[in-house]
Amino acid sequence: MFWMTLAAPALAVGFSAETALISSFGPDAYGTLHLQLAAGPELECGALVIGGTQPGVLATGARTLHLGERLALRGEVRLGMLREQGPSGGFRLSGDLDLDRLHAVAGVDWIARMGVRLEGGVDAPLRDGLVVQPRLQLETWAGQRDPALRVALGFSLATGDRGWVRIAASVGGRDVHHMGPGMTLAVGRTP
Amino acid sequence: MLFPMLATLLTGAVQAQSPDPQVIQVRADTVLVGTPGEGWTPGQTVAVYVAEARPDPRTDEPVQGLRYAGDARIVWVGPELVALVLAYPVAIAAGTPVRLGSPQGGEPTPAWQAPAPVAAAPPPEPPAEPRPPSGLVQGLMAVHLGQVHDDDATWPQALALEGGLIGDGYDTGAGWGAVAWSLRPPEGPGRVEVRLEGLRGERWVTGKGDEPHATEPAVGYWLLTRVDTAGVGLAAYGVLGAGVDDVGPGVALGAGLRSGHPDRTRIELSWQGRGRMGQRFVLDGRVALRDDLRVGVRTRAGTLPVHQGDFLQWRADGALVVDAVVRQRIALQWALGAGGYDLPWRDLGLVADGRVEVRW
Repeated sequence: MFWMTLAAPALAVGFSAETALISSFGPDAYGTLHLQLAAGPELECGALVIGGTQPGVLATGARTLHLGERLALRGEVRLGMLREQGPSGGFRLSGDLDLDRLHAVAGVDWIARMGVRLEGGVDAPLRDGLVVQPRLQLETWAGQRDPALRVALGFSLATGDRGWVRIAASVGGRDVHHMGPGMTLAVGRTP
Repeated sequence: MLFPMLATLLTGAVQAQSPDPQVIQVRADTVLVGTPGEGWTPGQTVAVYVAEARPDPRTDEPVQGLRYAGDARIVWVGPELVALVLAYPVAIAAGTPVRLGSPQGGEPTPAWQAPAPVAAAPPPEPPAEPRPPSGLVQGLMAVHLGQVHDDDATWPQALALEGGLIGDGYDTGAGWGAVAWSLRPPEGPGRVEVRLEGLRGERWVTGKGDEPHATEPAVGYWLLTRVDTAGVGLAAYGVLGAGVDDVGPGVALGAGLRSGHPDRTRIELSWQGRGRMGQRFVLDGRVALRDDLRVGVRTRAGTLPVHQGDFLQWRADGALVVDAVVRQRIALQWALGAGGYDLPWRDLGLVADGRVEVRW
């Protein structure tokens, strides 16, 4: 039969690539590159490369759970190695609450011997496919240094064929003498 | 020119059937083109098509289509509802999707009927009570891996051969090999595996001040049993075994969590211990690019074999993993990456391993 001679069909595979450069004009500047693959809306796996003050390479695996119609929780597990620190691991837990017009988002990020990062904000649609994403971040990233406060403003734009682009700019630091800019760029395609 | 256009103007679902079986009301809130009610006037005659499912002759899966239910006359039009009087008494259940089109003037097409059996079939037997599966292994699997409905169904089995090396840039890497036999229930992703594993590594020897100054070989062999539960959203597995290394006997333990089907996109996080030969955490994620091809990333972080019980040296490795199924019977897996004690290239060694599995 014709259909039995066909090769196995390709599945709809999604991906995301995010890079960030964060500086406080101090020793705690860092950059990240996070690559992920997904074959469905709920499971992702990839690799996270961290450069700067505390470099590291970690593999990541994430699962998204939909609790009811309005709440989505995403858990990400990380395992890898930090420079001069040896093996390390951590997690990221984030939530998205649908408030009709707005989405309230919050997340906590932790890697052993790297630090912790808390983030909260909203996603507000401006028009079709364009979402504005203000964020407030508190972090001890890049080697568990003093807490730094950062304010970010991002925009997410949906493109054709399930693609999306997100760009964000931020400013913040440990104190008024150690403040600097940050930039995040991410592209992806939903599976 | 009006009626060809009407075919795309109104697609809705039957709201309710009045006491007169030939009068139906159609919701117009899913109109595809134009304003609901625009261009409609009571008194027009239209053809009525109702959605109906028939089994696909190849797969027996129900396929939605349209059936001509005769013509009808529009008797009332509102912004959200259109009332029709059918020319023939056709039973249309509330909620049935309906499409209107140009009148055909014919009789309704009869509803689809399942073909009559060629020979008189014997009266159906009452469903049999589930019988307890025979054998200790099948009994355990039925209890822990999923309900077995057919005791005579084939239980897929597999035999796997795997091995590889874990380099670390300091000639203290490890080599390992294993042969594993696994059994799965006919339904569900549960599994029982029996595994014979050999591991050769290096242990650091501590000197004065507890500083490692030399290495010595360490060898161990293990007989392990692994049981996976049948969940897809979230499943767990446990490993229990015993073995012997060059110091004495030891116990092997392991536990893991898995999200996703084991043969498709999934993430697995586990911990494994092999007595004095060390322990490790493993994060293994795979994404299915096709039904028979997956790629993923695997990281392991663990300890080298222990010397005198005090000194633990941690090491991590990461690899890109590709696995493919050939002709549904042979599964191949390759992993290639790097590992060691630290991130600089001079501290890293090659990590490479492979697995061949034959299924029947």
